[in-house]
Amino acid sequence: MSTGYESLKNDKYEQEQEKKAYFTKNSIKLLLKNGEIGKTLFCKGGFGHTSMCILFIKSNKSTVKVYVNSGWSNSIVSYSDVNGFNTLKENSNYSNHMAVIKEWGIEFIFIENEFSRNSRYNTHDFNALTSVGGFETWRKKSFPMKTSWTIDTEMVQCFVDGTWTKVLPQKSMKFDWDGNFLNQTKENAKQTEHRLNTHRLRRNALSRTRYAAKKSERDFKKHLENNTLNEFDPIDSLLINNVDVRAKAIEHFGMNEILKDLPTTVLHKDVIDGRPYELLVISVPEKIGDLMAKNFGVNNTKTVTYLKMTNPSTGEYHLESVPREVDNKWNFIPEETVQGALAWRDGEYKMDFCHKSQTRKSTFTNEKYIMPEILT
Amino acid sequence: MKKYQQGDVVLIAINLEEFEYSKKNDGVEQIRSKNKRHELAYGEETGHCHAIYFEDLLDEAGVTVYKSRWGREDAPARLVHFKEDVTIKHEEHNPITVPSGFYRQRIVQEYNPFTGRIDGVID
Repeated sequence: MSTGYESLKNDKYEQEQEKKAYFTKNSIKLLLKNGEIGKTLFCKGGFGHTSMCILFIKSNKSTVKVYVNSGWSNSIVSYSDVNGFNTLKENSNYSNHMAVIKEWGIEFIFIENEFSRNSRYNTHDFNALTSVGGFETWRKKSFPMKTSWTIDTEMVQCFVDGTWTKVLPQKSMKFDWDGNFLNQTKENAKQTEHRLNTHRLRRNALSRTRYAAKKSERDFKKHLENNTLNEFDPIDSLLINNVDVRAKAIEHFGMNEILKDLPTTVLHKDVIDGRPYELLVISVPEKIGDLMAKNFGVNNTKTVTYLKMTNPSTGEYHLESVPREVDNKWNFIPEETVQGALAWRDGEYKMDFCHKSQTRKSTFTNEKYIMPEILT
Repeated sequence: MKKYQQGDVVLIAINLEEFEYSKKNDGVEQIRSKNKRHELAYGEETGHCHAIYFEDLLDEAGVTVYKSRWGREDAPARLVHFKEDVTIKHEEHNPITVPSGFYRQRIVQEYNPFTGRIDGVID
């Protein structure tokens, strides 16, 4: 029984497509088998990575080292020799090789990722190298592995025991030419299983949340039509996604009725241009707190921050949620005031990409709220 | 920076250079008017619309609206150009009069505390 990459070649068209990928794969194998020590093979990255330069250097009798570098930096190989053999003259620009190719396959060496909180290893060079070859379909590339962003983590897709699956990257990853992962550690297998399981539970929680939001909106509209709104739980108004429908629910039940059983703190209140605003923190009841999928495996705060405001045209109340730092670490209101919440709501500032070592406060730009000339 | 706001639609005044740059680089395309109005943002659920009606315009072609080339059909506008002062109307907001000029349009954003997503508000 064929396993792994071989099992995918079941179609004549696919076989023909595969020949295109063989050009690079065979070239690399040829360099490994027949090339003299010091000979190089150079190519650009594949689809999406064409700005990257990839250099294969025969470093000893049975090893080819792979270097990946940005196309904007000085290249040591002349471009006229693209896809041809050339002799290495100097290698000062290529400090660390990112992969080693041997007869049995390829070993990737990942470097620690300083910029991401969730992904431990930097997979950018891995993506550039695995994009080499034909790019009509990804399975016909020289290396069939690829990365996949799964909720909050970069994972590597490859064959493990003949099954196409996702694994967390580890410092050294060995693959054969068909994309089978050869050296998975027990710790990696355990962490991968845990991560995939967490993702599954979180995905399910998100589905439940979306279902509950749609259901509450549907129920509200149905009860509104049938004049049976006494059967609708006012607290469910908070789940309604559509701001207009939510405002109608708030108008019908009244803000006090909705919030009467919910512990509410007023973080800040202000009057801007004659209009009152309040920043409220509401502790939601267990009934809808359990639906907070964002908290799944992250934290257990069951509080929601709302900006309470009035529609200046109709006078009806609006509750619109804004994220504080405890809610969302990547995008949150610059300061916990009405002005800060309004600036965030209107998109007045953006958060720059920040390094771990920087404090987040310093990365805000233009966080001040700009008062509209006219607001209705 | 001058800003005009009607409910969830925010118009930010920009200069010609910025407008031309965005037109070239932001992946926008001009949209045609329909229902005898120029639609700036359409509420799919409620059917309410932030729009400039032909009856309020001296010249129907005095308003040019651009939206994202890759957005859905009823996606809100991204860039607008008014050759004359215009009145924007909506079913649930008082009309506003915006002076002629070039504008970038934004939809105010909202955080969904239950799914953790940040999106433009839905109405």
